[in-house]
Amino acid sequence: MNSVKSIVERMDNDELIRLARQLDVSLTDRKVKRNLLVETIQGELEEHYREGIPWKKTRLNDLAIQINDLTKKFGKTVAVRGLNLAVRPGQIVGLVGPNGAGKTTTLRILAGIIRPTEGSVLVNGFDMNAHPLKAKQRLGYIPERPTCYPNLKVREYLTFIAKIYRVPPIDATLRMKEYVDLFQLNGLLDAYIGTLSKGNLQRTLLVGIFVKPPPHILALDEPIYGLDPRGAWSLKVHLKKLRDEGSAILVSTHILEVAEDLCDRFVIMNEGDVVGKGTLEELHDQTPNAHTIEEIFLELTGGIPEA
Amino acid sequence: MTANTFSLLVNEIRMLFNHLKRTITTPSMLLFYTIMLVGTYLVSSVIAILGSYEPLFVSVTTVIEATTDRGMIMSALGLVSLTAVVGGYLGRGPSAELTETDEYIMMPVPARPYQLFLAKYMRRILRKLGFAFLALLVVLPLIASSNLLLIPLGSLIVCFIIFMEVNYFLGGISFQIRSRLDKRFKTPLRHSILLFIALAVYIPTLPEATANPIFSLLIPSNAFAYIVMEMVGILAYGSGPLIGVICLCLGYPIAFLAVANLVDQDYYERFALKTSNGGKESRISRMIRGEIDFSESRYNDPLMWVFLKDFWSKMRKPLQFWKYLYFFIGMTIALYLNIVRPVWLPPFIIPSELNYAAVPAFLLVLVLVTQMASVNALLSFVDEKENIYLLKSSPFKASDIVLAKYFLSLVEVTLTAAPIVGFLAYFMRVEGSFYLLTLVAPLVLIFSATGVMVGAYVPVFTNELSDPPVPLAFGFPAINIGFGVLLMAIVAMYAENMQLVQVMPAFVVVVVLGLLALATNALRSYK
Amino acid sequence: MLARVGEKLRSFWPVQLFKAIILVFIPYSIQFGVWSTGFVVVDLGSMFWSLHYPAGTLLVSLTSMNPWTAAANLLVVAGPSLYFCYRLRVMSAEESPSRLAAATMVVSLICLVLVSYSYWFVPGGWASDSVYWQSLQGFVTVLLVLFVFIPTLQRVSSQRLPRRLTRSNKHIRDRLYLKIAGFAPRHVSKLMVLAALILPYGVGLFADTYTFILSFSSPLVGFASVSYQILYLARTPDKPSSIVLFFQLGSMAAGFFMLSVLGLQVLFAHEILRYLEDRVTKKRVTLIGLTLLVSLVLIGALTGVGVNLGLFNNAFIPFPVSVLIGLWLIQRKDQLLLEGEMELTTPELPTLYEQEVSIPIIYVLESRLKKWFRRYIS
Repeated sequence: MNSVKSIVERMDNDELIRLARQLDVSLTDRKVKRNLLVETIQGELEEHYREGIPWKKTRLNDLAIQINDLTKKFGKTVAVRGLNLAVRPGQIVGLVGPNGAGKTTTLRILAGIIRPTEGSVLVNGFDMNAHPLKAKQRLGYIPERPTCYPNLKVREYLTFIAKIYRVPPIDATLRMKEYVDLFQLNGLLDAYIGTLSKGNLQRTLLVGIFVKPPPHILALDEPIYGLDPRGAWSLKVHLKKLRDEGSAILVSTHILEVAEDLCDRFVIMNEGDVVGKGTLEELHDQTPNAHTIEEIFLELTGGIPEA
Repeated sequence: MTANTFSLLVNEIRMLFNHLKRTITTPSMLLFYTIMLVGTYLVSSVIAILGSYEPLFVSVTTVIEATTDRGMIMSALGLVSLTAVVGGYLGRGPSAELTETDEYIMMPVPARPYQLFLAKYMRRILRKLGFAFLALLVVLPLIASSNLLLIPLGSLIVCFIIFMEVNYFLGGISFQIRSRLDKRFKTPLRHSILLFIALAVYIPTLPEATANPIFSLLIPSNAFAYIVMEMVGILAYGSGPLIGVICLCLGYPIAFLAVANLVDQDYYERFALKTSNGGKESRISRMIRGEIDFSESRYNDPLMWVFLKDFWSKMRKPLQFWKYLYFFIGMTIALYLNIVRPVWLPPFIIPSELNYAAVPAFLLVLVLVTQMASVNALLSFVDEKENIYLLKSSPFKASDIVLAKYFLSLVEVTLTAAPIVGFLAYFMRVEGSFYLLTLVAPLVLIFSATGVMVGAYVPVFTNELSDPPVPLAFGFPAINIGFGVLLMAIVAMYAENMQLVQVMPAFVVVVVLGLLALATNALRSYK
Repeated sequence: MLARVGEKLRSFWPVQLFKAIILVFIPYSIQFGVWSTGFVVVDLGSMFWSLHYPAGTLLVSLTSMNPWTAAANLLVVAGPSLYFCYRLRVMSAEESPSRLAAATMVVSLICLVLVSYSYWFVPGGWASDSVYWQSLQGFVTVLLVLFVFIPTLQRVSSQRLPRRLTRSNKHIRDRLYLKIAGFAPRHVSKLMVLAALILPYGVGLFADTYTFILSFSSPLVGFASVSYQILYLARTPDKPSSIVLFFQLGSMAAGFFMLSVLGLQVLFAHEILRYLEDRVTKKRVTLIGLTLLVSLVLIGALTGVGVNLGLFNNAFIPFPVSVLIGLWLIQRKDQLLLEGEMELTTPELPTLYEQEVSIPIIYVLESRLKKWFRRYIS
């Protein structure tokens, strides 16, 4: 509750009025002292959350992401062959591989954009083919190339996403404020998405997935793309925090430093096949000649090139 | 818990509204669009001069009534539905409305495919209505001068939109049929279903079927044909268009609901797999959509590379194939008419009191037709959008790029204008029209150059907000008409002088080279 | 004694009344026509006199209105404007006259409508003298412009100086205007007001001179402004030819539309000036410009040119000069900003964390309604 109160204190006047409206706070004077308004809102929120903050009580299925024998063919080309992958709550798994390995295809199947040729994908226990809506309800997906509707303002987009996922308005407002502050989007809420730089667009998409209450099941394709060092650091810290709170995260990247810093386990892919799996230590065991993650990766995906 | 359909619909409306707001609050874009609207309004005011040639239009009505019957008109409009169905089967159906952003933002959210379809359709129909309203506003002088009533004309336009949307839905249904078949069967024989679908759509529009009034009006294309005949007064039954409107409006929700119910995961899949379907489809259908790898070109000339790039890029637009089809069919019919001169389709008879104005009218129509066709030239640079940087940073000379664009524009403008000129030559026979028609060639050369020049300045215009070439944007139709009039004046001045064969080519060459030089300068100065 | 008399004459009320009397007698409609036969017509129309010159004879006639009725009409329609003058004089320098000016305009229009129907009730208020009524409209228009619009604009402009410039630093403000527009501010504001009042907002073409409906065989060129219209009817091949220059001051036939457009034009001019001084955002100015443009186009297309002659349905081409001038000034400022010759100081926006929060009126009303409902109903 203290974190909620501190969020309210950080809100600007317009945001306070918006939240007051959502809480149905009665304001019969044209001018109100700010600290009085803040106290009133905090009081209403205490009453609203008197049975506890709802998202704190939710738990994920034991296998948050489960991919079984996934195969995807595009005509004669096999993009993914026999992939088996599981991500449990409290884990960050890295899907690592060179360009064209099948990482993006895997994530697109996981997000329900395309269907597998063979195999199954389960999100929070729900089969993406059989129960796509229930599976997608939990999942947060960031694509490889950040893209969004250019004619929406940032605030409008975030509100829209909250409505799509049926996040209660009060929860959405609080969470939006929290993550807008975290990703430093404060000055851009009324900017059109079409005018944002790549980094700010990526931040907007990230806030969009965090507007949903935790715990999260995240499928992130190159999440650090376009972020400056401060933004990248904030994101990594936050992902680790989410993992500790019970979220399950699958990160696809070809930047090995990011994978090494972030991930607990790795799945290394090359040309559609899984060529390595496990923790860093287990991968070391598989490739005794390699010493760094870079060498492990190169060893497993075609051999370390000669100098 | 699925997403709320209302939220998706509101979001689409909000995006359209924001787009409009962004356009009108950017002074340069506001000025640009205002000038284009005012310019088009001016052009239609000029065209409205033809409104006083009412006897001409009366004779058109008489000719149509004498040479066609109701069955033929219904069959002709049935062809439109047939085309929609075939196009839907071979194309992407409703998923053609989706964008890359939809793939990454909307497809992963807990929304059913039909919800996304509804939202995208809402956007489509609002944009269509907006354009129809603007078009009506811009041709207001034409309407006023032709003594047309606004409300019936507006109703006809709305009925036309409904008819085209019904065809869109028919294409969607045809697409869904193919998707379902593809899932169950692998044999190529499955595509023979297209023949049955085509027959099912076309047979009810044949004269034998349309003899039955109930049957005839239940089919949307027949209903629309009925509406047109009643409103325009050609071959009308005399019972008013209302029953046709009711039948057409009944067909619309039925078709709409059918598509909405049929839409499934394939709606996403077909869009998402568009670049990955390389090995699956036939070369012909890929050619129709322009998805051909042209990277291995045997040409060793930058001009040809840019030319081919633009050519195949244009082919990847849905309408381009149909444009070539229009050219072939149109030219065939035009050549047939001009050579055979069938008795059953006589040309327009110009009333004697208008003889003095026939030649100027002919020339004016020639100029206007070529002007309308030359919009393709304007788009040659505009279509590059932000990819202009790629061209600029490539090791090509600016003049090569401009020439490549110009040559392709000549092809495009010729393709568009040729059939219309052919019909004009047949239907509007004035004294000396055979010789006057040869003026199309210099007009195409000049207007294409103007289009390339103005198009080259558009990125400059939208980039350099402080110094917009407003006269150019305003003047595209005006410049063309000006050059057209100048050309006619030269012809009139040197009509009985052999110097014409020197003066006219010189004029054309100087103007074209000058305009292309300006375009080259624009390309160089674009930051 | 003469000096005292002169002083009294030069004091406020005599000057204003003198100006008003001059306006009573000036001609508001001028028509000059030359037919191909050499027939010349000159018509001058004012409220109390008209002059007619057909073919060599000069005819000056007085209005057929009852003089007392006519005088009473004058007092009624001029009264609000004169009252406004008086109030403006006694108003303090900080008080804004805008609301009073708006009220004066509305009341003047209502008075004009009332007196036009007065012939039902007032003896001799016979409405058949069309020249009188047209001139009365012109009189009211010019009166409002001279006695209400321009003084209001001057007062408001002098009140709202930008914060970064004080009255004593007017020369800085003058340099700003010279840089942007090439003119001193007093000339820029005059230019804008002149553009609003005098320059045409549209051109009408092609109308039959006899039936006054659209006909492309009868070229007509008409320029319409909010304050007047000029029509040039050229000769036609098959109709008896005439060249007629028609000038009508105060085209009130379109009445309220014209005044609303005029109001928008003046507002737009005012906002342009405020934008040049960084007191409003470009978005606001552009939106007002767009509203003005749309109004001009719609009104012009609906009412046409030469509406006093019933010349509807001509081919109308909008030519919103004031909008174009305004947009030119905006572009000029943008160019100077781009070239670094000016610095932008954005208009002050309310700070986000002000200690006092302003609750929107609608929210307050909703809360009060709910409170009342809870207290008295449930």
